[in-house]
Amino acid sequence: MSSTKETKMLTFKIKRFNPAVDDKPYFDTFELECNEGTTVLIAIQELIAKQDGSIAMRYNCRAGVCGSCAVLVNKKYALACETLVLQLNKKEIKLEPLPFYPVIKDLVVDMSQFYEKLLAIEPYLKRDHSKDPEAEILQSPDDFHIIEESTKCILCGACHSSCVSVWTDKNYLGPGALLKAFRFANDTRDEDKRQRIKRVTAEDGVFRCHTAFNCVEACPKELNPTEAIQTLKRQSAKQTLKFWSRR
Amino acid sequence: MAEKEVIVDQAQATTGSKLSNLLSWFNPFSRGVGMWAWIAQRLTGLFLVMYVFIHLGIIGTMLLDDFLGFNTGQLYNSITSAMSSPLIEVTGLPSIFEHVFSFAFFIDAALLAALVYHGYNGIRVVLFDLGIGIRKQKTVFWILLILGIISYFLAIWLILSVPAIVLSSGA
Repeated sequence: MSSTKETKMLTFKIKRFNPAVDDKPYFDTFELECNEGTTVLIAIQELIAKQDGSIAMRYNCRAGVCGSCAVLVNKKYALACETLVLQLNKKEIKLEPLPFYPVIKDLVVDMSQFYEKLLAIEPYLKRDHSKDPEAEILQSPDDFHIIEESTKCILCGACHSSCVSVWTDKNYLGPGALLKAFRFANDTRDEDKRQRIKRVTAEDGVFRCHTAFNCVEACPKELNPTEAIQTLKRQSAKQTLKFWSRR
Repeated sequence: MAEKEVIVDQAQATTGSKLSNLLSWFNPFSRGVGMWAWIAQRLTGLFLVMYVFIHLGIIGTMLLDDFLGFNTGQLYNSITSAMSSPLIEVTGLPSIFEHVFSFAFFIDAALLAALVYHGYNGIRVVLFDLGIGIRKQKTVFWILLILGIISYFLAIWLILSVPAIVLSSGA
């Protein structure tokens, strides 16, 4: 264990908003003693326990797996549980809920539109189960390598909140859902590739992406939804052209 | 044309008006090079489209008296001389910089900047559509920006020097 327990007094500015009571969001300022192991999430938990019990925050696993604690830390997308406050090298830490989503309270946002879009691409394996082998459905490491990165998505919704196309077109599927669409369309065990590609070729699908790379900037897991979307664009163009030449 | 296909039918997504959502494009949070490159691409694109119409309008006006059958060329001469006359009187410049302060040069310089940026960033976007360099988008942007700046100054130098060469060889 490290013996030097360095502590620092840090200022936390948290954006508060309770739609039932407040007309406008406002910032509350708190002071907290932080050490090198303090994450943003631990700091908020301590603030809730010791200073203001009315701060609302959504969290679950505390290990960067569940994706429920994504917030804006100093205007950058981050998972509260993975961000160490002393490594930010700032005296003042500003916490805001994810932009674009409707705020339920303080740092908790309503992500139902994100989930709805996720369900629209049918994010589960589709295949004829009557021909399944007795044991597991095997996949070679090479086949898995194609979709390896996109399976790491934890559905925190940061990319969806950062996307410019999502802001101005509410029906656009968004980078999160399209990353999932890529993951299932290119899964060798899936037998619905044609329909999946057809679905994302629609007006609100992949071609709404303008490659502004905000999702790549935002992703706390450092994934690349833009690359997945660009691959889907090429696959969809290929499939559509094949369709026309067959007629 | 196929019927418009709405994948997600939901109304509660909007948090602000269309205009405020549009203005939030310019909100500088968690933004990288790619976002600013994209915004500049849109703005230069709009500028170039507007320029085409202004250009057609001015050229059309220049040739108006020819169309009407007065072949005097007066409109043409007056507009070109107004365009090329200096906005600020600066004396003692070398001859190559003679027209630097004219209205025409300002327009040309702005047009070229927009054109060069839009063209080079267009190459970048085409590369991404081909699946090249998506992971290195920032490097691609800076390389093309440097190439663009070089071509910009080359073009400015040509604008300034070529008329003098043509005039001297003609005489």
